[in-house]
Amino acid sequence: MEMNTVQVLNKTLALPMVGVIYLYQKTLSPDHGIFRSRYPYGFCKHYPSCSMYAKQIFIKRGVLGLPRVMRRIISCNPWSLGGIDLP
Amino acid sequence: MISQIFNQALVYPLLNLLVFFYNYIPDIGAVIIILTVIVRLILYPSFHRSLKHQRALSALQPKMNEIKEKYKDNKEQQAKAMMELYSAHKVNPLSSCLPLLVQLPILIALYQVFIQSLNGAGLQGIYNFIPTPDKIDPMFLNFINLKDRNVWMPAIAAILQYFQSKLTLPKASGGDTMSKMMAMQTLYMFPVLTFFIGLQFPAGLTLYWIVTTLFGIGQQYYILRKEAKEALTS
Repeated sequence: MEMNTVQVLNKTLALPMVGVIYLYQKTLSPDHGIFRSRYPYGFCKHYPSCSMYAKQIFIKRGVLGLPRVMRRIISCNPWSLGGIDLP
Repeated sequence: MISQIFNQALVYPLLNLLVFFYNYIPDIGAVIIILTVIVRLILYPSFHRSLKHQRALSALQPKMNEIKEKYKDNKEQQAKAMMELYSAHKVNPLSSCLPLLVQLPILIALYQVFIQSLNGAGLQGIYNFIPTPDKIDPMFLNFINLKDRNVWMPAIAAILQYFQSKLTLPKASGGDTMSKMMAMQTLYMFPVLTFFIGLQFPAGLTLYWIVTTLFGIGQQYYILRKEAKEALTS
């Protein structure tokens, strides 16, 4: 019973983050937003893109997925090779 | 609370820098130009790298077009095949998200600083060791009021934006109609967007936009020239 409350809280707290990512993807995102025509081969060096990855992690694991999201964004730097990295 | 942290960490330091320069050069337009160049120089490495990566795209383009054609109807397969191509060539011409995430707050803070210093109200958050001017005169070169909107500055910004897009885009050799259409869209849509958005803002912000675009064009020229030199020597 208590485990369930924690789970519900965990997922509910992640909802605003999913919302923010959704808005970002519809607007500023170079991979999914209005500017995507500027990057015909995509922007992010990973697959799926960082925002997609973050959205999926937050939906799947709630706020507890935050460390994974941070790890991913930090790994998306000019010195990394990127590539396929599934959530 | 977040806006407090944001102000303390980014907006106030930049605002103080602006006032500091204004005390020596009492022309807000000149100060905006200096501040913009400083911020672009700080962000130089990450812009530079992403530009270089964009140029690397043209070299891999034939193979990329092949993949695009092969997985025309399956975006996911397409993206995966592209990634495999990159790792096979030990390159990744695409950009990274971390620098983007770092840049965004700095640029937003800069916008806020320009708006705050131009709106004529008392300046907030000035450190006590920096002499505060009574008010900031919004005239640039004595004839452009940076506080008001005007038509010319967004027009100049739009034209510069057009040249920048033209420089960035890989040479359209062949390619399917879809990618040609996208390139056209980029070439014309952004200048038009820049113009109409610029009309809504005080001229101080469009001045910022003009300077930052000029800086970008200069950077691109520099990279192109360097590439040409390298091609000659190798």
